[in-house]
Amino acid sequence: MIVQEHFTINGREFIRTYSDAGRYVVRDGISYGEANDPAEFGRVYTEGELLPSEEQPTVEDKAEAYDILIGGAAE
Amino acid sequence: MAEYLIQSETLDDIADAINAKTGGSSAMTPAEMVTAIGTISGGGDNPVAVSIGAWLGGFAVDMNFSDEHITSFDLKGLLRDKTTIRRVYAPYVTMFNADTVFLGCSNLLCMRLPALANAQTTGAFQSCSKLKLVDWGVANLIRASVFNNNAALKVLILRRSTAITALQNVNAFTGSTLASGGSGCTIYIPKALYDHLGDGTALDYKAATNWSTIEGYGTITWAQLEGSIYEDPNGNWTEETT
Repeated sequence: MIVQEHFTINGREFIRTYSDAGRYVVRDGISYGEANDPAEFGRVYTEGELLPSEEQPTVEDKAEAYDILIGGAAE
Repeated sequence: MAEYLIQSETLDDIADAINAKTGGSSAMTPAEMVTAIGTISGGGDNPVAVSIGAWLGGFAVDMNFSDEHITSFDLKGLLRDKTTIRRVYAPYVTMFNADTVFLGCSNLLCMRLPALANAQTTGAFQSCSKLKLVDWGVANLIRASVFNNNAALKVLILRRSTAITALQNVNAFTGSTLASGGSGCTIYIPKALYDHLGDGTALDYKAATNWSTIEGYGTITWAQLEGSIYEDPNGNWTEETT
């Protein structure tokens, strides 16, 4: 579900929009993890794909990167 | 990370690569590898040799990827926490598609990616505490956590001229000079967008999603790219000229 919260910065009102289901919020084809807009614009968002979890490199990832470097050196 | 660096197979292969460049055949200690890399003719311009040097550590490195075949950064964490890296210049890189590539490179000062177009990276420069200048090319996007804890960031160059470089989350700048209470940063944008500042259109950074919040913090100084020393993406400038 889309959630909207109002807040102010230096007296100006903003709206923070996010998904409580851990999804991107989308407007005009652009996906945002969280969208903060001046309230006067009244921007409307829909829910998009799930936000990715923070990925850490695996051993396989490191091995692939290593191959890129060393493979280039041997050329 | 440390266990990866000392794998004997890895070191053997690095030694083989060095021998292939130098014509040698001898076994080497890691310290001797560093010395050998320094003797490689043209090594300062050889991205692979320089990369290996940075990987091994031991001396400050400016990484020059001026090779038209190097078009993407997909190193997936290999350069994380490499405190010897000072500057990176990669004029042909158009895609940045791995996360946290330079995370924790605490002596990194300058990152120049003038051709960057597709920036699918999160946390790219997280905790690069001395990073002062970033050329983000014509990228369409800044994703989450890219500039986290960049407390020294003073210049950000956004060359995209047809539309705003979307800011996917304000947390891209958490702990940086652009965060609430930060010391501030100058963002260079093309005249095509600079002229729209404050007009409330889709080309107005000051009204754009998430950028508008940072604008509210008062930490951004907007500057026009044309006429600045950064106009030439391959000009002779570094963080030292800011």
